[in-house]
Amino acid sequence: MVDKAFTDITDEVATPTDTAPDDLLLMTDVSDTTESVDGTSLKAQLKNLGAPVLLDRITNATAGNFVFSSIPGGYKRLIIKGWLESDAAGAPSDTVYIFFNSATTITDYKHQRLQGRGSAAVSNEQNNPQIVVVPGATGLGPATVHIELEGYADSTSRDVKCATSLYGHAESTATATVGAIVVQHNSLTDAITTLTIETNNHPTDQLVGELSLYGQM
Amino acid sequence: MTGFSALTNELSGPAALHPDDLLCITDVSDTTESVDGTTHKVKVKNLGFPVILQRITHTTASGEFDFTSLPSGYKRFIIRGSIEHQTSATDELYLYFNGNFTGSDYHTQVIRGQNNTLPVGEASTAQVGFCADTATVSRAHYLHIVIENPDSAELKHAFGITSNAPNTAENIINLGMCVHKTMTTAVTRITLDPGGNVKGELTLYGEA
Repeated sequence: MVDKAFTDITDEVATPTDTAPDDLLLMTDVSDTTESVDGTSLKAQLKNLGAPVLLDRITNATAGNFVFSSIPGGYKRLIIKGWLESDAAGAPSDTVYIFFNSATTITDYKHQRLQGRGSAAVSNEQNNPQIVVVPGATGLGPATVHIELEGYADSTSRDVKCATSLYGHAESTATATVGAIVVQHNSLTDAITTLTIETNNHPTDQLVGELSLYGQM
Repeated sequence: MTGFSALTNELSGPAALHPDDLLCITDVSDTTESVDGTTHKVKVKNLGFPVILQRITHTTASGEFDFTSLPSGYKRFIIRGSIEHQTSATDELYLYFNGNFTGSDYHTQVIRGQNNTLPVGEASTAQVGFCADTATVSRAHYLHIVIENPDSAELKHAFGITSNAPNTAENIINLGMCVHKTMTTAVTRITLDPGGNVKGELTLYGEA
Protein backbone atom coordinates (compact mmCIF):
# COMPACT_ATOMS: atom_id res chain seq x y z
CA MET A 1 0.00 0.00 0.00
CA VAL A 2 1.35 3.38 -0.97
CA ASP A 3 0.25 6.86 -0.11
CA LYS A 4 1.10 9.55 -2.61
CA ALA A 5 0.21 13.15 -2.86
CA PHE A 6 -1.69 14.11 -5.98
CA THR A 7 1.39 15.72 -7.52
CA ASP A 8 3.35 12.46 -7.25
CA ILE A 9 1.00 10.56 -9.51
CA THR A 10 3.41 10.26 -12.39
CA ASP A 11 6.12 8.62 -10.32
CA GLU A 12 3.71 6.27 -8.66
CA VAL A 13 2.15 5.06 -11.86
CA ALA A 14 5.58 4.68 -13.53
CA THR A 15 7.20 2.81 -10.66
CA PRO A 16 4.50 1.52 -8.32
CA THR A 17 5.71 -0.26 -5.23
CA ASP A 18 2.55 -2.31 -4.78
CA THR A 19 1.43 -3.90 -8.03
CA ALA A 20 -0.94 -6.64 -6.91
CA PRO A 21 -3.64 -7.32 -9.52
CA ASP A 22 -6.44 -6.25 -7.21
CA ASP A 23 -4.96 -2.86 -6.50
CA LEU A 24 -7.09 0.08 -7.38
CA LEU A 25 -6.34 3.67 -8.01
CA LEU A 26 -8.55 5.65 -5.74
CA MET A 27 -9.36 9.30 -5.46
CA THR A 28 -10.66 10.03 -2.02
CA ASP A 29 -11.64 13.26 -0.37
CA VAL A 30 -10.15 13.00 3.09
CA SER A 31 -12.27 15.88 4.30
CA ASP A 32 -15.36 13.75 3.69
CA THR A 33 -15.67 11.50 6.72
CA THR A 34 -18.36 9.37 5.11
CA GLU A 35 -16.00 8.18 2.40
CA SER A 36 -13.24 5.62 2.61
CA VAL A 37 -10.76 4.03 0.26
CA ASP A 38 -12.55 0.70 0.01
CA GLY A 39 -15.96 2.18 -0.67
CA THR A 40 -17.26 1.49 2.82
CA SER A 41 -18.29 4.46 4.87
CA LEU A 42 -16.36 5.26 8.01
CA LYS A 43 -19.54 4.71 10.01
CA ALA A 44 -20.01 1.23 8.58
CA GLN A 45 -16.38 0.37 9.28
CA LEU A 46 -16.67 1.50 12.90
CA LYS A 47 -19.93 -0.39 13.29
CA ASN A 48 -18.53 -3.63 11.91
CA LEU A 49 -15.49 -3.44 14.17
CA GLY A 50 -17.71 -3.16 17.25
CA ALA A 51 -17.64 0.55 18.06
CA PRO A 52 -20.92 2.18 19.12
CA VAL A 53 -22.10 4.58 16.43
CA LEU A 54 -24.40 7.52 16.89
CA LEU A 55 -27.87 6.91 15.43
CA ASP A 56 -29.82 9.85 16.79
CA ARG A 57 -29.66 12.62 19.37
CA ILE A 58 -32.54 14.55 20.91
CA THR A 59 -32.05 17.71 22.92
CA ASN A 60 -34.92 19.15 24.89
CA ALA A 61 -34.01 22.66 25.96
CA THR A 62 -37.63 23.14 26.99
CA ALA A 63 -39.66 20.41 28.60
CA GLY A 64 -41.01 17.69 26.34
CA ASN A 65 -40.61 13.99 25.74
CA PHE A 66 -38.07 11.96 23.78
CA VAL A 67 -39.18 9.92 20.77
CA PHE A 68 -36.61 7.96 18.80
CA SER A 69 -38.35 6.77 15.65
CA SER A 70 -37.33 4.81 12.54
CA ILE A 71 -34.65 3.02 14.53
CA PRO A 72 -32.68 0.84 12.11
CA GLY A 73 -32.02 -2.84 12.58
CA GLY A 74 -28.63 -4.45 12.12
CA TYR A 75 -27.14 -3.84 15.54
CA LYS A 76 -26.84 -6.19 18.49
CA ARG A 77 -28.06 -3.59 20.97
CA LEU A 78 -29.17 -0.02 21.44
CA ILE A 79 -27.47 2.22 23.99
CA ILE A 80 -29.00 5.46 25.24
CA LYS A 81 -26.78 7.85 27.17
CA GLY A 82 -27.38 11.33 28.45
CA TRP A 83 -28.95 13.43 31.14
CA LEU A 84 -32.51 14.10 32.20
CA GLU A 85 -34.45 16.20 34.65
CA SER A 86 -38.13 16.88 35.16
CA ASP A 87 -39.67 20.30 35.62
CA ALA A 88 -42.35 18.88 37.93
CA ALA A 89 -43.06 21.78 40.28
CA GLY A 90 -42.17 21.25 43.92
CA ALA A 91 -41.04 17.66 43.36
CA PRO A 92 -37.62 16.37 44.45
CA SER A 93 -37.84 13.48 41.97
CA ASP A 94 -39.98 12.16 39.15
CA THR A 95 -40.68 8.82 37.47
CA VAL A 96 -39.76 8.24 33.83
CA TYR A 97 -41.33 5.60 31.59
CA ILE A 98 -40.07 3.95 28.41
CA PHE A 99 -42.42 2.56 25.75
CA PHE A 100 -41.52 0.18 22.91
CA ASN A 101 -43.00 0.84 19.46
CA SER A 102 -46.71 1.66 19.79
CA ALA A 103 -47.22 -0.44 22.92
CA THR A 104 -48.39 2.28 25.31
CA THR A 105 -50.54 0.26 27.70
CA ILE A 106 -48.78 0.78 30.99
CA THR A 107 -49.87 -2.48 32.60
CA ASP A 108 -48.40 -4.50 29.73
CA TYR A 109 -44.99 -3.79 31.22
CA LYS A 110 -43.25 -4.84 34.41
CA HIS A 111 -40.18 -3.33 36.00
CA GLN A 112 -37.86 -4.27 38.85
CA ARG A 113 -35.92 -1.49 40.54
CA LEU A 114 -32.79 -1.84 42.67
CA GLN A 115 -32.01 1.49 44.28
CA GLY A 116 -30.14 3.21 47.05
CA ARG A 117 -31.67 6.47 48.22
CA GLY A 118 -30.47 8.27 51.29
CA SER A 119 -29.38 5.47 53.60
CA ALA A 120 -32.06 3.02 52.46
CA ALA A 121 -32.02 0.22 49.90
CA VAL A 122 -35.10 -0.33 47.79
CA SER A 123 -36.32 -3.32 45.78
CA ASN A 124 -39.56 -2.53 44.02
CA GLU A 125 -41.43 -4.38 41.29
CA GLN A 126 -44.51 -2.93 39.60
CA ASN A 127 -46.65 -3.33 36.50
CA ASN A 128 -45.46 -0.29 34.60
CA PRO A 129 -42.55 0.68 32.31
CA GLN A 130 -40.50 2.77 34.75
CA ILE A 131 -36.94 2.95 33.43
CA VAL A 132 -35.25 5.67 35.54
CA VAL A 133 -35.84 8.11 38.37
CA VAL A 134 -34.84 11.72 37.70
CA PRO A 135 -34.83 14.88 39.80
CA GLY A 136 -37.83 17.17 39.81
CA ALA A 137 -37.78 20.94 39.80
CA THR A 138 -36.33 21.10 43.30
CA GLY A 139 -33.59 18.54 42.60
CA LEU A 140 -29.88 19.29 42.44
CA GLY A 141 -29.15 19.19 38.74
CA PRO A 142 -29.93 16.44 36.24
CA ALA A 143 -29.68 12.67 36.42
CA THR A 144 -27.05 10.70 34.56
CA VAL A 145 -28.86 8.08 32.50
CA HIS A 146 -27.61 4.94 30.76
CA ILE A 147 -30.09 2.57 29.12
CA GLU A 148 -29.42 -0.54 27.03
CA LEU A 149 -31.70 -2.76 24.96
CA GLU A 150 -30.07 -6.07 24.11
CA GLY A 151 -31.44 -7.91 21.06
CA TYR A 152 -33.85 -5.08 20.24
CA ALA A 153 -34.00 -5.99 16.54
CA ASP A 154 -34.55 -9.70 16.96
CA SER A 155 -38.10 -10.40 15.87
CA THR A 156 -37.64 -14.12 15.34
CA SER A 157 -36.97 -15.30 18.86
CA ARG A 158 -39.66 -15.80 21.44
CA ASP A 159 -37.92 -13.49 23.85
CA VAL A 160 -39.87 -10.47 25.00
CA LYS A 161 -38.28 -7.07 24.70
CA CYS A 162 -36.58 -5.48 27.70
CA ALA A 163 -34.49 -2.46 28.67
CA THR A 164 -31.95 -2.17 31.46
CA SER A 165 -30.83 1.11 33.01
CA LEU A 166 -28.36 2.68 35.39
CA TYR A 167 -29.04 6.14 36.79
CA GLY A 168 -28.02 8.53 39.53
CA HIS A 169 -28.85 12.00 40.74
CA ALA A 170 -29.14 14.16 43.85
CA GLU A 171 -32.51 15.31 45.12
CA SER A 172 -30.91 17.69 47.61
CA THR A 173 -27.67 18.31 49.44
CA ALA A 174 -28.77 15.62 51.89
CA THR A 175 -30.27 12.96 49.63
CA ALA A 176 -28.78 11.22 46.60
CA THR A 177 -30.09 8.32 44.54
CA VAL A 178 -28.39 5.61 42.51
CA GLY A 179 -30.21 2.73 40.91
CA ALA A 180 -30.67 0.11 38.25
CA ILE A 181 -33.89 -1.01 36.61
CA VAL A 182 -34.97 -3.73 34.22
CA VAL A 183 -38.21 -3.22 32.27
CA GLN A 184 -39.85 -5.91 30.18
CA HIS A 185 -42.91 -5.90 28.00
CA ASN A 186 -44.95 -8.95 28.92
CA SER A 187 -45.59 -10.13 25.37
CA LEU A 188 -43.90 -7.93 22.75
CA THR A 189 -41.40 -9.85 20.60
CA ASP A 190 -41.42 -7.53 17.56
CA ALA A 191 -38.28 -5.66 16.58
CA ILE A 192 -38.12 -2.27 18.27
CA THR A 193 -38.24 0.64 15.84
CA THR A 194 -39.56 3.37 18.12
CA LEU A 195 -38.68 4.29 21.70
CA THR A 196 -40.60 6.87 23.70
CA ILE A 197 -39.26 8.25 26.98
CA GLU A 198 -41.52 10.46 29.08
CA THR A 199 -42.60 11.11 32.65
CA ASN A 200 -45.35 8.99 34.11
CA ASN A 201 -47.92 11.75 34.52
CA HIS A 202 -46.93 14.35 31.91
CA PRO A 203 -46.26 12.38 28.75
CA THR A 204 -45.35 15.22 26.45
CA ASP A 205 -44.26 18.25 28.42
CA GLN A 206 -42.08 17.54 31.43
CA LEU A 207 -38.60 16.24 30.52
CA VAL A 208 -35.58 18.43 29.90
CA GLY A 209 -32.24 17.03 28.82
CA GLU A 210 -30.31 15.39 26.06
CA LEU A 211 -30.27 11.73 25.04
CA SER A 212 -28.06 10.13 22.41
CA LEU A 213 -28.99 6.84 20.79
CA TYR A 214 -26.16 4.56 19.75
CA GLY A 215 -26.10 1.21 17.99
CA GLN A 216 -23.44 -1.42 18.60
CA MET A 217 -22.57 -4.62 16.77
CA MET B 1 -13.39 7.30 -6.16
CA THR B 2 -12.68 5.12 -9.16
CA GLY B 3 -10.76 2.08 -10.35
CA PHE B 4 -7.20 1.91 -11.65
CA SER B 5 -8.35 1.44 -15.25
CA ALA B 6 -10.15 4.74 -15.11
CA LEU B 7 -7.03 6.71 -14.25
CA THR B 8 -7.12 8.86 -17.35
CA ASN B 9 -10.70 9.82 -16.97
CA GLU B 10 -10.26 10.56 -13.29
CA LEU B 11 -7.31 12.83 -13.90
CA SER B 12 -8.88 14.65 -16.80
CA GLY B 13 -12.27 15.17 -15.27
CA PRO B 14 -12.59 14.23 -11.61
CA ALA B 15 -16.06 14.72 -10.26
CA ALA B 16 -14.84 16.28 -7.05
CA LEU B 17 -11.28 17.47 -6.69
CA HIS B 18 -10.18 19.21 -3.53
CA PRO B 19 -6.77 20.40 -2.35
CA ASP B 20 -6.68 17.71 0.32
CA ASP B 21 -7.48 14.81 -2.01
CA LEU B 22 -4.92 12.05 -2.03
CA LEU B 23 -3.92 9.54 -4.63
CA CYS B 24 -3.96 6.17 -2.94
CA ILE B 25 -3.03 2.75 -4.22
CA THR B 26 -4.51 0.25 -1.84
CA ASP B 27 -5.21 -3.44 -1.84
CA VAL B 28 -8.98 -3.51 -1.39
CA SER B 29 -9.00 -7.26 -0.86
CA ASP B 30 -7.08 -6.74 2.36
CA THR B 31 -9.63 -5.49 4.84
CA THR B 32 -6.98 -4.83 7.45
CA GLU B 33 -5.21 -2.29 5.28
CA SER B 34 -5.85 1.41 5.20
CA VAL B 35 -4.40 4.44 3.49
CA ASP B 36 -2.20 5.45 6.39
CA GLY B 37 -0.69 2.01 6.86
CA THR B 38 -2.50 1.24 10.11
CA THR B 39 -5.22 -1.37 10.23
CA HIS B 40 -8.76 -0.11 10.72
CA LYS B 41 -9.05 -2.20 13.85
CA VAL B 42 -5.92 -0.76 15.41
CA LYS B 43 -7.00 2.76 14.56
CA VAL B 44 -10.40 2.24 16.14
CA LYS B 45 -8.85 0.58 19.17
CA ASN B 46 -6.33 3.38 19.66
CA LEU B 47 -9.13 5.93 19.57
CA GLY B 48 -10.66 4.22 22.59
CA PHE B 49 -13.56 2.49 20.91
CA PRO B 50 -14.41 -1.07 21.86
CA VAL B 51 -13.53 -3.57 19.15
CA ILE B 52 -14.95 -7.05 18.67
CA LEU B 53 -12.43 -9.72 19.65
CA GLN B 54 -14.61 -12.81 19.66
CA ARG B 55 -18.29 -13.70 19.33
CA ILE B 56 -19.78 -17.02 20.40
CA THR B 57 -23.28 -18.05 19.36
CA HIS B 58 -24.99 -21.18 20.63
CA THR B 59 -28.27 -21.63 18.81
CA THR B 60 -28.86 -24.87 20.67
CA ALA B 61 -27.97 -25.75 24.21
CA SER B 62 -24.26 -26.01 24.79
CA GLY B 63 -21.99 -26.40 27.76
CA GLU B 64 -20.55 -22.95 28.20
CA PHE B 65 -19.18 -19.80 26.57
CA ASP B 66 -15.42 -20.18 26.41
CA PHE B 67 -13.33 -17.27 25.11
CA THR B 68 -9.78 -18.50 24.56
CA SER B 69 -6.45 -17.14 23.28
CA LEU B 70 -7.35 -13.61 24.37
CA PRO B 71 -4.88 -10.98 23.19
CA SER B 72 -3.00 -8.55 25.40
CA GLY B 73 -2.93 -4.80 24.92
CA TYR B 74 -6.39 -3.79 26.10
CA LYS B 75 -7.32 -1.82 29.21
CA ARG B 76 -10.41 -3.92 29.71
CA PHE B 77 -12.47 -6.72 28.30
CA ILE B 78 -16.21 -6.23 28.00
CA ILE B 79 -18.66 -9.07 27.47
CA ARG B 80 -22.15 -8.24 26.26
CA GLY B 81 -25.11 -10.21 25.05
CA SER B 82 -27.84 -12.46 26.29
CA ILE B 83 -27.89 -16.09 27.28
CA GLU B 84 -30.44 -18.43 28.73
CA HIS B 85 -30.15 -21.61 30.68
CA GLN B 86 -32.00 -24.58 29.29
CA THR B 87 -32.99 -26.13 32.57
CA SER B 88 -34.80 -24.31 35.30
CA ALA B 89 -32.84 -25.62 38.24
CA THR B 90 -29.75 -23.42 38.06
CA ASP B 91 -29.53 -19.87 36.85
CA GLU B 92 -26.49 -18.56 38.68
CA LEU B 93 -23.86 -17.43 36.20
CA TYR B 94 -20.20 -18.15 36.95
CA LEU B 95 -17.11 -16.57 35.39
CA TYR B 96 -13.76 -18.37 35.42
CA PHE B 97 -10.33 -17.03 34.52
CA ASN B 98 -7.66 -18.96 32.60
CA GLY B 99 -9.25 -22.36 32.99
CA ASN B 100 -9.37 -22.33 36.77
CA PHE B 101 -12.79 -23.85 37.47
CA THR B 102 -12.37 -24.34 41.22
CA GLY B 103 -15.19 -22.27 42.67
CA SER B 104 -13.62 -21.96 46.11
CA ASP B 105 -10.63 -20.14 44.55
CA TYR B 106 -12.97 -17.19 43.92
CA HIS B 107 -14.99 -14.82 46.09
CA THR B 108 -18.18 -13.08 45.09
CA GLN B 109 -20.66 -10.44 46.22
CA VAL B 110 -24.07 -10.07 44.60
CA ILE B 111 -27.02 -7.79 45.28
CA ARG B 112 -30.24 -7.89 43.34
CA GLY B 113 -33.77 -6.73 43.17
CA GLN B 114 -36.10 -9.64 42.58
CA ASN B 115 -39.86 -9.56 42.87
CA ASN B 116 -39.85 -6.85 45.56
CA THR B 117 -37.12 -8.58 47.57
CA LEU B 118 -33.53 -7.44 48.06
CA PRO B 119 -31.25 -10.47 48.41
CA VAL B 120 -27.56 -9.88 49.14
CA GLY B 121 -25.05 -12.70 49.10
CA GLU B 122 -21.33 -13.23 49.62
CA ALA B 123 -19.68 -16.59 49.04
CA SER B 124 -16.56 -18.40 47.88
CA THR B 125 -17.78 -18.92 44.34
CA ALA B 126 -17.19 -17.40 40.91
CA GLN B 127 -20.74 -16.10 40.52
CA VAL B 128 -20.93 -12.84 38.58
CA GLY B 129 -24.67 -12.72 37.88
CA PHE B 130 -27.77 -14.53 36.81
CA CYS B 131 -29.23 -15.70 33.54
CA ALA B 132 -32.78 -16.54 32.59
CA ASP B 133 -33.92 -20.10 32.60
CA THR B 134 -36.59 -21.85 30.58
CA ALA B 135 -39.25 -22.00 33.21
CA THR B 136 -41.63 -20.05 31.01
CA VAL B 137 -42.07 -19.24 27.35
CA SER B 138 -41.40 -15.52 27.50
CA ARG B 139 -38.27 -14.10 28.97
CA ALA B 140 -35.85 -11.29 28.56
CA HIS B 141 -32.20 -11.23 29.46
CA TYR B 142 -29.30 -8.83 29.48
CA LEU B 143 -25.64 -9.26 30.35
CA HIS B 144 -22.82 -6.74 30.66
CA ILE B 145 -19.55 -7.81 32.30
CA VAL B 146 -16.32 -5.83 32.61
CA ILE B 147 -12.89 -7.31 33.32
CA GLU B 148 -10.69 -4.34 34.04
CA ASN B 149 -6.91 -4.36 33.52
CA PRO B 150 -6.62 -7.96 32.25
CA ASP B 151 -2.87 -7.73 31.53
CA SER B 152 -1.90 -6.50 34.98
CA ALA B 153 -0.26 -8.33 37.89
CA GLU B 154 -3.23 -7.48 40.12
CA LEU B 155 -5.76 -10.04 41.30
CA LYS B 156 -8.21 -10.76 38.51
CA HIS B 157 -11.79 -9.66 38.98
CA ALA B 158 -14.99 -9.13 37.03
CA PHE B 159 -17.94 -6.81 37.54
CA GLY B 160 -21.29 -7.68 36.07
CA ILE B 161 -24.76 -6.27 35.52
CA THR B 162 -27.32 -8.84 34.55
CA SER B 163 -31.07 -8.66 34.28
CA ASN B 164 -33.78 -10.95 33.13
CA ALA B 165 -37.46 -11.66 33.31
CA PRO B 166 -37.88 -15.33 34.08
CA ASN B 167 -41.63 -14.97 33.74
CA THR B 168 -44.31 -12.30 33.65
CA ALA B 169 -44.58 -12.35 37.42
CA GLU B 170 -41.10 -11.24 38.34
CA ASN B 171 -38.01 -9.47 37.08
CA ILE B 172 -34.45 -9.70 38.33
CA ILE B 173 -31.71 -7.10 38.16
CA ASN B 174 -28.37 -8.02 39.69
CA LEU B 175 -25.03 -6.38 40.40
CA GLY B 176 -22.23 -8.84 40.95
CA MET B 177 -18.48 -8.91 41.44
CA CYS B 178 -16.18 -11.91 41.60
CA VAL B 179 -12.45 -11.97 42.25
CA HIS B 180 -9.94 -14.77 42.00
CA LYS B 181 -8.24 -14.83 45.37
CA THR B 182 -4.72 -15.58 44.13
CA MET B 183 -4.47 -15.24 40.35
CA THR B 184 -2.22 -12.41 39.17
CA THR B 185 -1.33 -13.69 35.71
CA ALA B 186 -2.71 -12.02 32.59
CA VAL B 187 -6.17 -13.08 31.51
CA THR B 188 -6.01 -15.15 28.34
CA ARG B 189 -9.19 -17.17 28.78
CA ILE B 190 -12.63 -16.35 30.16
CA THR B 191 -15.30 -18.99 30.61
CA LEU B 192 -18.91 -18.17 31.42
CA ASP B 193 -20.87 -21.10 32.72
CA PRO B 194 -24.29 -21.23 34.37
CA GLY B 195 -23.93 -24.93 35.04
CA GLY B 196 -23.89 -26.08 31.42
CA ASN B 197 -26.80 -26.46 29.03
CA VAL B 198 -26.89 -22.84 27.90
CA LYS B 199 -27.62 -21.06 24.63
CA GLY B 200 -27.50 -17.50 23.37
CA GLU B 201 -24.89 -15.13 22.03
CA LEU B 202 -22.06 -13.29 23.75
CA THR B 203 -19.56 -10.88 22.26
CA LEU B 204 -16.17 -10.13 23.79
CA TYR B 205 -14.87 -6.62 23.17
CA GLY B 206 -11.48 -5.11 23.95
CA GLU B 207 -11.14 -1.44 24.83
CA ALA B 208 -7.92 0.55 25.05
